[in-house]
Amino acid sequence: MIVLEVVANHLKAHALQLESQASLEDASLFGRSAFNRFYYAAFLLVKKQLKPVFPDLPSKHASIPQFLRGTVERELRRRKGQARKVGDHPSAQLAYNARIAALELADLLALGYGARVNADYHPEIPVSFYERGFKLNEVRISEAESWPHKAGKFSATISDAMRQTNAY
Amino acid sequence: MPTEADVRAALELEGLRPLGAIACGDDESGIVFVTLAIVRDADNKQQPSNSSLRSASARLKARGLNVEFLLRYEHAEEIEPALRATLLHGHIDHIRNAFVSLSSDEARVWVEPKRALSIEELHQIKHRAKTFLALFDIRLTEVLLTSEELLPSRFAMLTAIRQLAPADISDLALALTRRSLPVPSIDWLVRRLDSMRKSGDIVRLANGKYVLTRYALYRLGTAKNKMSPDVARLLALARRGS
Repeated sequence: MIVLEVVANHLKAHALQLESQASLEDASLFGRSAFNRFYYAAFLLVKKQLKPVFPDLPSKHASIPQFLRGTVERELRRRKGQARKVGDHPSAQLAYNARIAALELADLLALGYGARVNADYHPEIPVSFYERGFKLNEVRISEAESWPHKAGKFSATISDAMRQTNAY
Repeated sequence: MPTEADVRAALELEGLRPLGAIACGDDESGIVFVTLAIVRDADNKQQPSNSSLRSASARLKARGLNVEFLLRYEHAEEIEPALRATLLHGHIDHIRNAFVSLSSDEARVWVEPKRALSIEELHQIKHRAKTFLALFDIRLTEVLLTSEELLPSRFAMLTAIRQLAPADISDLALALTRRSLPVPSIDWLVRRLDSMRKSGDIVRLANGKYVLTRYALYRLGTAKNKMSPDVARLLALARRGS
């Protein structure tokens, strides 16, 4: 677990504690920050694992999902074909899994980025609390909590496939 | 950057009703994030469908709106933890974690294995996931494994030999380790190379070094760009002064 994820978990717990003490305004502020930190924890994991294998990974957050669906998906599809040509079926399967992981990581980062923008720039969107949780614009904190882990697994799968099928 | 009102008006023309607020990006990419609820109609078809969303996205782009749809599926929050608990309960020795990627009537399950899974174990996991998802009228499309500790693949070894040929076994182990593909032992590598030699991919020379066969070279192919393996080979030769 990276430090940002620890911070995000503290923010989440504190938001819930404040909500139980009826400090709704403060609870909402801590809740928003938790969304922000869970997104950044996921983003930094992706950047750490994908930058070495994709040096052209965009620095702009909003552009990364499109990069994953375009450049990364195409490259993994090509490498899957290459691995299959030499009869390396485990690597072809890994490249296939990584291709699907790239598409799913794109969806996850788009959702996370959208939630982060709402949390930071749209105070008019309320945080709604429910039993043992809260949500912002239909995104539940329990879902945000899973972003770093999933993003880490998806990007590790992509990075492993790139290393295994590097022909250069 | 378009305003939220512009985006709402354009979405209304497309017959799309966003869920909650519309998030405009904080950079110059101009991407607008729109959340949509995805439901199933009386015929059990996804509404709005993926193809209608793709067409709407293209039309919006033509109007200068770069929209990213964030799709929210009904039951998504309940299904993932319950499926995870079901799979972990039945396969605690095999898997560490599991998560689901849902669409309206299909799901893909990702499994984090604790070790390499046998076909039988994987089949049992698939069966359990399929039975569970059927309770929600959701079809399992596939079960995929996230990768764990990697050993160098056949492809990685062939490309490394191509670059180093004639390749000494310790140089080969070093080259693979430099690619972040650790070799467990020289003995492991010798056995893998022996199997590749038997399948006609490589030849072991009298001096104990390895080279690719013409058959393997043909199948590996080449590329006419800066990532050409032939250029990499030339640079490797230059580096060692051959």
